[in-house]
Amino acid sequence: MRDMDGAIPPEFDGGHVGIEELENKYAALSEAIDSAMAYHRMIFDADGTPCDYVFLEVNEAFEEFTGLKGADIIGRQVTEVIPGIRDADPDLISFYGEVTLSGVPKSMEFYFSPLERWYEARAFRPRKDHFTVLFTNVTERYEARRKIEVYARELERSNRDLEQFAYSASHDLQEPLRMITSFLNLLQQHLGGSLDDKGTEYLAYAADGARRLKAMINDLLLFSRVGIEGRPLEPLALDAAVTQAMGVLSERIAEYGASVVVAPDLPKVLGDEGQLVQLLQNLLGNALKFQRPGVAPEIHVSASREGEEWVITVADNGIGIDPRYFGRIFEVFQRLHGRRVYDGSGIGLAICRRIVERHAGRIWVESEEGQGAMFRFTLLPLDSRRGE
Amino acid sequence: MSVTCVPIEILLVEDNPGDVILTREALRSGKISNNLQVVEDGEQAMAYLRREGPYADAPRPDVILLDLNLPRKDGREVLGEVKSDHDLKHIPVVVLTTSQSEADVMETYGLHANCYLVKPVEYGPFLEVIRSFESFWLSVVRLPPNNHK
Repeated sequence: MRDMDGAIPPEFDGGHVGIEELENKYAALSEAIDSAMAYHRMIFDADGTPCDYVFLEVNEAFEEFTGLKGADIIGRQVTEVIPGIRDADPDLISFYGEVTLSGVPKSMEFYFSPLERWYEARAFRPRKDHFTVLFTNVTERYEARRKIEVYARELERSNRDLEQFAYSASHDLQEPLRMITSFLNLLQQHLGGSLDDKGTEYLAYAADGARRLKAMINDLLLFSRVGIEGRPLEPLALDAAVTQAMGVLSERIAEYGASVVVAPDLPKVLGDEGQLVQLLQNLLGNALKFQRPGVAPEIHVSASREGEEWVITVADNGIGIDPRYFGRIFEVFQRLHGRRVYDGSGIGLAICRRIVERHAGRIWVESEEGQGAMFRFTLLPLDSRRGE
Repeated sequence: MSVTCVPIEILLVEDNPGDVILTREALRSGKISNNLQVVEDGEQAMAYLRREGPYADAPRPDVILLDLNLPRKDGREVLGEVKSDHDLKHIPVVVLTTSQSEADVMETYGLHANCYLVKPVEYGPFLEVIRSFESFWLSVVRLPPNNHK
């Protein structure tokens, strides 16, 4: 707080006794903190541009951090103390200069190779033409952040690899499958008349197995395409996607006498329209499929804003889902009911989850057996700062 | 005498033995009398068409059924060679393949294939494709004059 000559600057001189106390507290604090601290006076050239600065005060942590001794540098200019500084770090002086001129505190991160650590330098102006810098060791925080970034990239690449694999495998599997299916057909034609009941039954099971295999391979292809053929997210009107999905299902909606009520205030969101239509089609289709016997399906589609996301809900009055299975149903090829009761290979919800994840969202279900189900998922609003 | 009394000569270029059987079966059970010759790769196909080596007495085909994915010389190369050969380019080449990729369709027509057919997975639809091929290419369409020599 004192200036170079040891005098107390007029703006602080409110009474000697109080000043001493403050100075002691300040000195104690300055030595106690782990962060390196240095207080400087800025030097300006003829145009008023910051070009150098004088060390006025440093703490012990600073001495350790830089290897410079306070006694050696106090009162001297940085260009004297560290002669190569303008070349080594050309932006440093202007960074501090900006803070000194504007009075607005600023931070920056840099890597200090001698100590192999990451530091955050926080500069602020406690007094006109002066600036203080606090250096904090942020290596841990920085490494954690980098680890997350690395993991995220690895995960993304692994997902893409898996998708490519699923895509290629599905393609390659189609040819042998074609052989199985075609020759079973031919066999049935060829032997048809001369087969006994058992023979006919055996062939039928084989043919059915092949048909289900074909459906699963198609589903795997659909699933892997979500990532591979996904398009960048763009603003779109959710109600248009709902209308399209309902159009595809219109015959079944009419057939079951189902009522689908869509809230009038569905928002605009960020999305891939084709995929959102697919998502809604799957959810509405399920709501229609898993109806309570004798009860016409009633489906409600609505949206509500929760913070940074839109939460979309597709609610039905069908058979509901046992909470034990809430997690499982979103996995690939998971089915809760026998094939004779409800058809389908069990990939619809896995595809829904993949689509929602691609949209930076989450999907979940709330339900009780016999009480219908609410499928809910989140989408990004137009003003989102996230998104792909 | 009507030309249709003479069986139509078809050359099938196909490496998958299962597909050979399926195609042969489908063509045999059709209405139009035909002789099916089969070669299993692109090299043999060109040798057959040029009547080289063991194929010296081979009849000239009226139409070629060509798979794209063949070992050694593949179907695209065969197509290119046939359609640039003065003696062979008039023979209709019907591509019959599993690939549904737009790139393949484009490239194939670009090489002057006469048409592109995709093999369905199930036998019923496959049979229908072959029937369509027959009723169009072997019945409705007027093929180039050919004394098969």
